[in-house]
Amino acid sequence: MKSNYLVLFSLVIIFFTACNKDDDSTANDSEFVVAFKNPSTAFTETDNEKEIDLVFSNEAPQDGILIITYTETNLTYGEDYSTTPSAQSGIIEIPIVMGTIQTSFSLKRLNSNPAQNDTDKSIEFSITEVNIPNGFTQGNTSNLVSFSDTASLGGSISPNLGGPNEGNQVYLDLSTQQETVVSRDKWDLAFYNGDQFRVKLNSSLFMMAAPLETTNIDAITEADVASLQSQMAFLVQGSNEFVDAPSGNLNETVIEEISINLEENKVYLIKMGNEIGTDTPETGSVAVAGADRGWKKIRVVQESGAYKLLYANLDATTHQEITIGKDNHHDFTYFSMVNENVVDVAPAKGKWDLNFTVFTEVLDLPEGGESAYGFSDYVATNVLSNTKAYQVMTEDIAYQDFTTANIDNSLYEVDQRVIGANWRDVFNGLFNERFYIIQDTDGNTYKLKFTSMVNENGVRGYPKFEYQILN
Amino acid sequence: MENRFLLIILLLNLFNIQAQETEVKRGSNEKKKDSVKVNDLEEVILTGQYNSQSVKKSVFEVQVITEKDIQLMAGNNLADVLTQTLNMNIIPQAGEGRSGIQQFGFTSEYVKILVDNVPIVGDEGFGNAIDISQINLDDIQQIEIIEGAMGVQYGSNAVTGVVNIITKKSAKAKWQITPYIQEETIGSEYGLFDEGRHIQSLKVGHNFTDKLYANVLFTRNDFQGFLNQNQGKNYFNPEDENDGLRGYEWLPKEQNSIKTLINYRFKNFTVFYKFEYFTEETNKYNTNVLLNPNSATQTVNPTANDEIFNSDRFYHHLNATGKIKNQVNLNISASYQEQTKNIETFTYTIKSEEKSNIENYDYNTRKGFFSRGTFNNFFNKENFKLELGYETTLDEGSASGLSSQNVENRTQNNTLNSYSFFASSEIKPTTRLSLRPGARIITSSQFSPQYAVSLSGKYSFKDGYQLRTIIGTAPKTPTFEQLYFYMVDSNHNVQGNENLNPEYGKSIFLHFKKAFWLNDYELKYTPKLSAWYLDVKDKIDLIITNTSPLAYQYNNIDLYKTWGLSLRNTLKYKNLSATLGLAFSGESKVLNSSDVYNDDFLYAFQFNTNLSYPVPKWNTVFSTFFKVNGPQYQFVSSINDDGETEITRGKLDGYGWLNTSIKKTFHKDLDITIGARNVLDITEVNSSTGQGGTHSAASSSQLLGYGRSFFVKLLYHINF
Repeated sequence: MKSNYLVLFSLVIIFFTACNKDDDSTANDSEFVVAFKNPSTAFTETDNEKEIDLVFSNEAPQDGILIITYTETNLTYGEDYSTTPSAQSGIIEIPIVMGTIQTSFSLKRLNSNPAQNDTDKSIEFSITEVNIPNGFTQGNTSNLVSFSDTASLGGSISPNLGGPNEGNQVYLDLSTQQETVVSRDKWDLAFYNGDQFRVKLNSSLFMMAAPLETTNIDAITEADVASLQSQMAFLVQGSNEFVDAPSGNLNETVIEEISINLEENKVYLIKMGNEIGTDTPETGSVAVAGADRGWKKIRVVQESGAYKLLYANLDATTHQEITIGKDNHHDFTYFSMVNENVVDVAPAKGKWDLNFTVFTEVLDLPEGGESAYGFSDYVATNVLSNTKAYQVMTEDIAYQDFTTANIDNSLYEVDQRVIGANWRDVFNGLFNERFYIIQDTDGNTYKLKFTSMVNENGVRGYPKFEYQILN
Repeated sequence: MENRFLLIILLLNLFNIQAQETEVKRGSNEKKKDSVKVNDLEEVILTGQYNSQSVKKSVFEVQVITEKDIQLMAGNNLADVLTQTLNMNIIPQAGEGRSGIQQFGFTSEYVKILVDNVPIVGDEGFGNAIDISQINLDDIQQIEIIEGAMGVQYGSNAVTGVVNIITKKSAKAKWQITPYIQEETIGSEYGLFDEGRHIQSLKVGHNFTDKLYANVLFTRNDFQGFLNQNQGKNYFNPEDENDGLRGYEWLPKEQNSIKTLINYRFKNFTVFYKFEYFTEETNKYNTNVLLNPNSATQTVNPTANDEIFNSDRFYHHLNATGKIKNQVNLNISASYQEQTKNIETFTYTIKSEEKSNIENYDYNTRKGFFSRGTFNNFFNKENFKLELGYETTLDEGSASGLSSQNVENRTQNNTLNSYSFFASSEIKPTTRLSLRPGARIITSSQFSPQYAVSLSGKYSFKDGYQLRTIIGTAPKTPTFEQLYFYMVDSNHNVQGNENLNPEYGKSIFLHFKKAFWLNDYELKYTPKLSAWYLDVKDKIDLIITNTSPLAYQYNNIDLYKTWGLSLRNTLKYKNLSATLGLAFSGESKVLNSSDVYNDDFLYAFQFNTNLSYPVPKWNTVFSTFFKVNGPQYQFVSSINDDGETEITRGKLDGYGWLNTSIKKTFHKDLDITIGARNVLDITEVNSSTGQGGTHSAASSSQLLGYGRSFFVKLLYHINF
């Protein structure tokens, strides 16, 4: 009897321990989707060859073939344009290589674009077959190539912000998909080229300025400004007084309009802010602020229609001077006091709509009052070129349902903060329930929604959005 | 006078005497039956005693959880059994796969956990911040719990009390082979492999000679996690990446441990060596998913940032107890312990079920040497005894996650070597009164010398009433986070403080009790009334050190106070044994760290009862354990609409832990225990005690359990 229990017990033990293996054998035969990266391509007068990109939903599980056909409008293959690989009886075959996530073909223009009043010339490429198991096309199944300067129909853009240090300012033009990437420590001061004489600080470096009582730049020493310096920091009540208005309103810069009257142009104490961070933060965090850049003093005056900048280190008894003239093509002329030169930063006037950058905002403090505060992942609109925008909540209308008919012109705002940091939540990622309507500098209207705040590994500084023209 | 060195036969199991009989032996080879009545199974305790002695004689008040209780609860680890203890709460950190204890409302950093009088290595040093779900109980004789600051006896961090786990060191049969398996549901979740909890264990003990005993034990505890509303690791919601439903509510983990013991009895000495290797793997699945949408193809390729924690722990303990020159008792322990907790972080691609971007680093390591020695009975005086002792801890550790902005600084090392000397004496001015004053000095490599003092007194009244008073103090060392945390950038300034001093706890306990014998010694009723006061001053908290710009730093600032009353009753009538306890306590926090606080006392009650009814005819024991934690209150500060700080009283609803089991023995060698844990099906309890802050929201419920679960345990005794 006793041994019976022992046998029973042993059997139970064997049963529970012998076959303990993982039972998850989910089939790995997921779908494979191919689409054009963008729904449209524009051949401007200066372009001769364009790469038409195709993207996959995931790594190609094996080699295969992609079949692309085309429909011509007032264009003929071989006469007006050609492709590589070339078309055989109306079909372009593009190989899919196992393990890759994209491919492309190139398109060469053989004739000039039509003149202003000529008929439109375009080709529409379409994916007709994906020769790979479970392969198909979806989304951007076609790409409309115009031989003219037409606005992009939309697409998806991942601005190169530079990862968790967010070292870049990225200027984007939605209608041409032009991306201009500038290291955000390239400049310190921006001099307005319009009618007014205005100077802006580089808010991405968390710079601040405070007016002093004197006009004598060489007389200022650290001792004169010590009490002021302690107030010029984030989360100090009243520090909002030392930064440019985050709205982008040019009349609210911390540095007063440069007067024609020399005596009115005071010396300013300048907090240079922080260098671009170099630390690697924990996944999901940012490290945008690096070493302290110290303090300087400046004075800006007008001199025969140009700016004259006087600048020096805080304790210096002498100063440098430079004359900065006005440039009609750009909103601002940018100057670096560190490298002591004029630098190229933003694209020409009206040639950008959105600026992805670290940014100095103003917030309400819990104990009352306001303070300056640094934001990462900020998206500023180009207010000087009248880029307008407003935010829509998906509980009112879904992104995919929003059409031209839903545009409400009364909601547009010309304010850098419309998108700002409202699109993301530092702790939970992006907000899915909001998107934006933007009228760009060329008058095109797009709907835009953010699709990622981090990359697939969860690392910050890799924003991504998609947008679509409304017409 | 030799009563002190009694060897007491402890009959732990009422109906299976042969297998369960255990002896506890300290200091002497002399054998003598205890003078208490034979059917009164007197409990023998070791914690805080000069030598092991019966609860009745102890100057301290010790609660004992016996092996029998553990078996009836089918307890595999400490977290399974401490839910029933008064003045303690088990707080699961389900999202980390850990369980911590709270005693008198203080976290597990204030409770010291010992195995055979030696503190075990944890994340924050020896004996503290222990994940009690890692303490396996398969070789346990009993668990002893003392309440109150025990700095003289156990040094730093024994602030609210001590949990001392006493392992078995001997057995009667020549060979004892004890395999068991235990299958358990996790709430209503159970599957043979991928859900539920599966325990397998095998213990082999052997008496090589009448002097040499050895055993070896292997246990595997496979906890498959609690999904609750969550959907496992391959879940994603294409519409909402932040729905928080991926992964588990309670992380799955697997534990394996191997323990071995060698015990040798010399003429005047007993020496044992105990070794344990413990390993645990916890899978932390991120509840949020990154969809990584591809706008062009209108597809998503969801990924998640997952983590696997691998812990290894080595425990070596060499102990010698005995007598020098037939006079001086000594008890010396030397222990080397090591813990490494490795983290593997990776990106998990849900569709392809592949890991990428794998990074490994040490998350938390600690290793150290501990030695403790006590010497007593220097002279043959019944009314004056002296104990001298030393304690040395050489402790080196690291902790991670201390700097979110720079991974290079996220890990900090700390070495804390401390050397303590302590002395206490037991003075009996009369036969009824005994006093035990004690003091300890703790010198360390990091802090200025710390002191702990204690004074215990026991007075026996003529009619059998006993009054005990226990006053004690203990310092509490700062944690890694308090010392080294660093988050400073243009927007934040939160810093640890390497100049922190230890916190300082003190307690006063009064116990008044008597045993009543009724019905011609068939009924024994023992009520015990206790009252206590405990406070911790210089408690460390984050304070605003600069308002403009806002900067925070840890400082010694707060004062926490608690007092309470409890009434514990035990009743034994024939086979039936029952306990019933009631505790009422109040706590007050003087938060000098805050501008606005309310230090009114907030009161709570607890109730526990245990009924155990053996039916010898059927070889069956029916048992029920039930504990009620009444509503708990806490002051919560929040900012109202006018921007003012408001203090409101938050509440954690009351809840009850009800466990019940039936254990039946077949043919004296197969025990089958079936039962249910958490019969009242507690998972989350409503809470408004969460502190809402700028970077966090007040939570509306606290997860305390995984619901009603059922277990069956088959244990086979092979003794020959």
